[in-house]
Amino acid sequence: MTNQAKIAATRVYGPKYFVNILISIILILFGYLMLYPFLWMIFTSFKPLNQVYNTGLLHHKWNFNNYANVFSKVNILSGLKASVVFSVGLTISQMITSSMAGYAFAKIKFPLKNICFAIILTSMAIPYVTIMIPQFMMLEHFGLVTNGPWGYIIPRLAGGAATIFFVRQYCYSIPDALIESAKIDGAGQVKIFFRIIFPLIVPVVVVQGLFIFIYIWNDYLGPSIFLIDKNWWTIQLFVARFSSGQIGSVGAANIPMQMTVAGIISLPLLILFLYTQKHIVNSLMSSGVKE
Amino acid sequence: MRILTTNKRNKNRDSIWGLLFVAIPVLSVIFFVFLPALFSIYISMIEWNGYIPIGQATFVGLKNFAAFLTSGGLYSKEFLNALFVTITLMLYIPFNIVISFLLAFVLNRKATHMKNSLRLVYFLPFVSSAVAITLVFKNLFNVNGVINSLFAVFGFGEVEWLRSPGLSRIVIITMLIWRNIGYTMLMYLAGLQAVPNEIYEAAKIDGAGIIKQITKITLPSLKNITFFLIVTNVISGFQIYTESAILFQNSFGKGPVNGTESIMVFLMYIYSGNDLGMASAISWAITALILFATFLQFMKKRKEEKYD
Repeated sequence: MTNQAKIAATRVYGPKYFVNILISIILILFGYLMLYPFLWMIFTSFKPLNQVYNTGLLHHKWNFNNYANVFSKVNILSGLKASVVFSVGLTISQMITSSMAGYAFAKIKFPLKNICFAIILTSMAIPYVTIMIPQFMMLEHFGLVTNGPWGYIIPRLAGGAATIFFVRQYCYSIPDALIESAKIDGAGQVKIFFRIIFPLIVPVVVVQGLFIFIYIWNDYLGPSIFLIDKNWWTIQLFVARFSSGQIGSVGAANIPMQMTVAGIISLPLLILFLYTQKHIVNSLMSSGVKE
Repeated sequence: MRILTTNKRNKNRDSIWGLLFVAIPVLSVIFFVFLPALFSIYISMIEWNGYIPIGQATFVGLKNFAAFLTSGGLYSKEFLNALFVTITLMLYIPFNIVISFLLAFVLNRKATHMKNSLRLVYFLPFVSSAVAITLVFKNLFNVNGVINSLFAVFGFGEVEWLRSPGLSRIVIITMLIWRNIGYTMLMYLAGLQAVPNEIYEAAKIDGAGIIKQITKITLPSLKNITFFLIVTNVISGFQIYTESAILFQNSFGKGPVNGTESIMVFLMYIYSGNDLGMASAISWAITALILFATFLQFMKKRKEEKYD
């Protein structure tokens, strides 16, 4: 070996190289640990009833019937329908209301602006636990809870403080001249918002929308209080009540079937997230710097 | 002159449109946050089961609060216990902070491989459904589950994780750590990337080792993020509910043994018994705890900043 090659070899295989390999191994093992619950969920949904425990993820008989059978055992389609309606509908409604409000707080002069903004911000300090019961009482008083989904929908139509705040921050970066020139051309605020502002703020609004979607889809406490009407139970309620044996004809012991439904409710979000992860991660990281 | 009047008209129009643009969120907060909050103060002072009109309910003043705040009250033992359980569940916070920081630190190194895929994998639990994942963890910690078979390798016997108050709390804590690491790690990663590399280079030239670089540069620059993370984690920590509720397989999360219910589970249990006055009183106690804990942290931070 020539001297030069020796130097090159120590450079590549020096102690730092082994530290890096060790770190990589630890990180990958940790990643496996983080993924394991998902893997267990998916693979167990293919296990036969008597091989749930004490078999590896792969070494068992494969049972592909659960996905076909689950729809007849529990009315999961109705839950999926409700969840899609709520997640999509509320996300759109929150995206529109909060981006309009965020724009107005940043760029329009109007009376009571500071008071209105203070009202929005104060709502962040009041935890959900304080308001959920009286909110239920109020909505029930107007007959909005016992039948249909309105008790759940109405308080969630408007965008929350965090979303409004993010949109407002983003709107500050839009030059005033853009709005002024549109005004001189005779455009009203509604036209300005939908034609000029909204296309500009779409990136931030879409990411906030993803967070809203994830939150609504996964929400359990809200639906368990406000959705009494069985026709509007969300998929989360179905899974919780199905796995505890309260509904459906399978019961609490059929773990593979439970994992099948758990997989069905997790899959849409996982796919959505993998598709959009770049934007979600970037947005979270840029918000992290500001905190 | 004409320009002046159009300007004025424009301003008036702007006022109206501005108010209309913010109307829905503002009204929503007033009607669905402020009003219920005030209403709940009143409910907390009456004895009410929700079936009779609220006007006929008897006003009892602070009796509801006394039932769980004074010693020897009807619920005082359960409340104190639930508070204790909640605080032990919050042990997930230090683990979450430390593990996430270490991960972020390592992922921020130039030499680490596969950063993006690892970051993605660590973040994945954050978007998982709490209901689905709690069902999974329930089985992982089953007597015959994976955790016990792993324990058996090291010669431990069967552990009944879900039948003892202490151990079932470990299950919930594990779940909370698993779920929150991704988000916390991202926050730290953002903070780490905000520190310019030149500072580290300069420190290296001045002879600072890796430990000194971490304690003198890295940790101080992450102070604000850590503060934000702890405050938000404590706020959500007081409201831990879904994990407990699903783990114990009834809608209100009462465990098989007394001593597993968090303060939220205790609240939902009282609420399910239609004791609405009592439930409102408890919800205000939780709110007061959250506000007090947040206030304390802000005061502490202020004090520290004074001395800096």
